[in-house]
Amino acid sequence: MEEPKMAKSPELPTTSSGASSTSPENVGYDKIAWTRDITEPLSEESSTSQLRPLGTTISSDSAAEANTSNTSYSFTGNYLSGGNIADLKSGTTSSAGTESASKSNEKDKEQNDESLYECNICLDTAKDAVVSMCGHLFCWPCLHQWLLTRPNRKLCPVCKAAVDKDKVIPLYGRNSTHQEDPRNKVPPRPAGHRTEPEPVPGFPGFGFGDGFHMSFGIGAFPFGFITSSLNFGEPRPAAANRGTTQYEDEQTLSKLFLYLAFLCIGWLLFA
Amino acid sequence: MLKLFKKPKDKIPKSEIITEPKEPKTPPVSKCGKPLQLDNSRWERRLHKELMSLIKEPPPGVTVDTESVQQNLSEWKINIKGFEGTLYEGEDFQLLFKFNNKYPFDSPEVTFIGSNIPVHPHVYSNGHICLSILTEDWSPALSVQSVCLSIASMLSSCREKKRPPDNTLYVKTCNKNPKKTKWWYHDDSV
Repeated sequence: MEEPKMAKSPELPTTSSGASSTSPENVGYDKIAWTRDITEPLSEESSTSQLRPLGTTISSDSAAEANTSNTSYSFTGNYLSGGNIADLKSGTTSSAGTESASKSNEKDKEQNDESLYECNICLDTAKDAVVSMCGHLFCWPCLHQWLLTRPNRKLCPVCKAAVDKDKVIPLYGRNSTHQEDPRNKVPPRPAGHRTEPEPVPGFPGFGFGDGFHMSFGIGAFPFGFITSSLNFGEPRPAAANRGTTQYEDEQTLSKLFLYLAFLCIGWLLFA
Repeated sequence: MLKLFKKPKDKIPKSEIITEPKEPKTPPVSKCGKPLQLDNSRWERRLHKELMSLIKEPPPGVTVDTESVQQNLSEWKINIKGFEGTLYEGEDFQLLFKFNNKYPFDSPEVTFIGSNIPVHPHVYSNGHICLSILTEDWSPALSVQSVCLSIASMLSSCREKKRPPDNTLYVKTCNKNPKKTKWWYHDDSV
């Protein structure tokens, strides 16, 4: 699971990304090497790394390994989306709020503060946040899906003002390291799963091996005929002057074709 | 002949994939990177949030039947009281909300159920409600709470208790699902 994430963050040394799949002894050395580099600037995230068990469980062999995997998660988690960390924070405030009444007040305050930054559609803290011209906050994936739902009536869900892809502004927080426009990444659709069919033994076709194939086709017969004989759109050469040999030849040729046509028609009628 | 050689190559990665799923850590990845893949959990999450806020701070006269919700999160029964000083004072009504997995992008299916269906010019005797926000004017920023409030306000502003003029015909011919009806919203006064 950690592998793809590490690959995404450019700051990490490349040795660590490969290490998680190798034998555990190598992992230890490599991870020590890169955690030393990274823990210092990440002193803030150490608090969130403790919240990590809320979301998912870590299956680890030793405590040291668990630590390194924690730091790597908190870093990449923050790197990918600020919203997740905010979720984790709200999770701890609710657990801490049960301890005393004074803390529950704080929790309410914090929740109110957080609801200011909730997406109007999913009611979660907005991630990949965009704000409409009318000032309403959404996750870009949520708003995108809403715009797809009503492609001919693109209205703000809150105030019914006109919204569009070009009429929303992406929001970048201070710590968001990826200042990439969320509108550029359309939410990835779930990929389809298809399996290659077994090759059916049957008519092999006119192929030589695998790369070469032959096919037969029939063109649109009457249209090709008409355009080539009637010359639509092309200037025809002017008729030759009377008396010249070319004129005589053309006359005989046209007469010949006329008789040929009569013959054809007669054959069609009487045969 | 070439294909015969290719086949075993294709099969090797498959067997690798089968051995991999030891690691149970995949869900957070998809949560971070691909939010739309988890459509189901997203609408459930939003419904949970709405339920919590409705139980915590219900609008006046509105109560959620938590037992029905616990059984099935996609069908809520909600009790509404007729407000004091209105024609429906002292009456109790029950609403049924049905959500599909496109919620909140698709509107919930809302009908009156139970023995007491309000006599109102926009409520048919089978419980169907003629209310624009339930179909074409739906917006994902609306919630169960706001729909309840709209229905309560619709009841409160009623001046005369009567059924819609086409009640008998509609009840005979309509679909079970009110969202399948093509509603014609013409009367803003009530």
